[in-house]
Amino acid sequence: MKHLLFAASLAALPVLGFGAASHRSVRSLPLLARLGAALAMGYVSLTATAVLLSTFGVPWSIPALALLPLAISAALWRTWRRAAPVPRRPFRPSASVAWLALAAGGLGAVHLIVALLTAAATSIDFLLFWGVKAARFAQARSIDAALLRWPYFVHAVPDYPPAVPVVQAWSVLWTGEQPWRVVPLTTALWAVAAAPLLLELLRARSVSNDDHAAAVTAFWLSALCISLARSLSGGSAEAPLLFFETLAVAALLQEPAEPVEPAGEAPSRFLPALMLAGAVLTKVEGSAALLFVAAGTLVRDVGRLGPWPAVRGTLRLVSGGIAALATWFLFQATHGLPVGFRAHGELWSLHARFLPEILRGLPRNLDAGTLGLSWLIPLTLLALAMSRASVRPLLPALSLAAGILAFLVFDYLHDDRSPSERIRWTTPRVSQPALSAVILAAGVATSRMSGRAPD
Amino acid sequence: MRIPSTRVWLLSALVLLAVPAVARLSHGVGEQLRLPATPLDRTSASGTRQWAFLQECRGRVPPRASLTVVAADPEAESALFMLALGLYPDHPVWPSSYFGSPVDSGSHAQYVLIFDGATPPPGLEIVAQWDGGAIGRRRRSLMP
Repeated sequence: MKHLLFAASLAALPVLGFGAASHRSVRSLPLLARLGAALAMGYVSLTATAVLLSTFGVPWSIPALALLPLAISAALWRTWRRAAPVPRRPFRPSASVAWLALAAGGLGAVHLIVALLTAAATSIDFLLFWGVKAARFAQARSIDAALLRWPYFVHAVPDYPPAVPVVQAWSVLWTGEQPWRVVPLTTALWAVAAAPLLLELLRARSVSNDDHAAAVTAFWLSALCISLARSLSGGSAEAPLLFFETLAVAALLQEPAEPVEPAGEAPSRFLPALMLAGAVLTKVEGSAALLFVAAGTLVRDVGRLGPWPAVRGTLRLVSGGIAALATWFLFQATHGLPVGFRAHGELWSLHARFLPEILRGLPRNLDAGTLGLSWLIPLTLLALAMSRASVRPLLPALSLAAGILAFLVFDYLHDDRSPSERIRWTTPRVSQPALSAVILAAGVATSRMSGRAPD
Repeated sequence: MRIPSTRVWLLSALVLLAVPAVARLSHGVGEQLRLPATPLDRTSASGTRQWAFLQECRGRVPPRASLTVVAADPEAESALFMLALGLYPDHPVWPSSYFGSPVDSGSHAQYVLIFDGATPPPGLEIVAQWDGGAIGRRRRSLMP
């Protein structure tokens, strides 16, 4: 019964966010892709509601947490249902490619699910803090500020964004206790839930035919499922972060080379802004990703749209993330917690003597469970494609990949002792959104070399 | 140069899958599919013992009673405290050590979970004992 209630708590997330499925950029997509958008919306609105209720001292309950997200979704549905949906071509891959892509992606997902079921991929962070916060928050019926202030809780990084503990606590409210053995399975859910929406975004414009989009999606799913298992990400924040950052970048990459908006208009950015809000609420690295993706998009768009529409479009892109951060910081400020994220040492107190060790250790830990092939294959394809194509359209993805790797080097340079152990523990997990972005960039770049033009 | 990239992507996806498949084939299927007793069965031998110990203690400590964990190894003691915070969400859980350094907060706790033959603090009444652990209750006069 508890497992059924746990499944019901997860199934309720896209119900809470059903309004996202009525946006004109989403409404014409197939059901599974729309479910991905609704899941993102449910996750973000549930988290924001939980933080606001905690800020104002209203105890959590299932109805109290569900009310505001449902009201927002209903309002969005009423507002958006009249707008004409973005037209889509029907998905018509060749049969052989469809079966092979399904087999490759499916086997990757099965590998991850088996690893999670057999406790071969459980995240220690889930057991030491993500899941602990969830169990305690559910017990307190609030984000427990006293616990976050407790000096013996600093191992649980109290400043970390709240979404993962909040969403896990939501499930605990349904089940009555933290289902420790089952929660890691949600890692596979995030990876699998991203795939249908990713496929639709890849085939929308940048990728020139359905076969190619299916093949890139299959590669993405198998590479990331293997990596999530190998990096012991079960139950932690890695999979939702990957979901949000991947779909944000994919939504930006699918924007047409020639603007469809009237001259001087900024593009609508509902889907990528929603995804970046989810990333920001999930992990501190989500805020770094917001900056990297925004910078790459701005540089790309200045040439494509002109400076002012590019700036306005970028502001739309970051608006959801900034609002999400503000919500979390408001809770911190009103509950006697340090506002913001705790820095890892003094910003410019760097230990340059470890740079060679870091530069050796980083690539060694980009194995991704495939002897590094998950990186080498898309990087090779990208290099071949870039020899005859412009890099500019790919900047939202490339800036994320390069930014994350540079951010990791910068972070490790703060260690005053050998960072090798920390590199070994963190690089396989934290580098995953960069791997995802490299695959997307290579997928879009190679689509131009693969033949058929879009209809 | 024209690249048949759809085929390259698909074949590459299958090649990726071969790497974990080879690793899986090197172990018995039955062993790999055995359902675990703890979430750490296949990733941490010490973590598995710690988790199993804390689960064994559940049900033997009264609801909402405060507790602490003692272990011979300070690192294990810290890890047990961190795990216990999640496994006992309706109990006040106090550390006996934190990041390997002893702290005296544990003396606040009514119940002491004694991991794997650790020396129990004085003034305890042992209420349960089994191979791998014990539970002690502080006598009221010694409570702070």
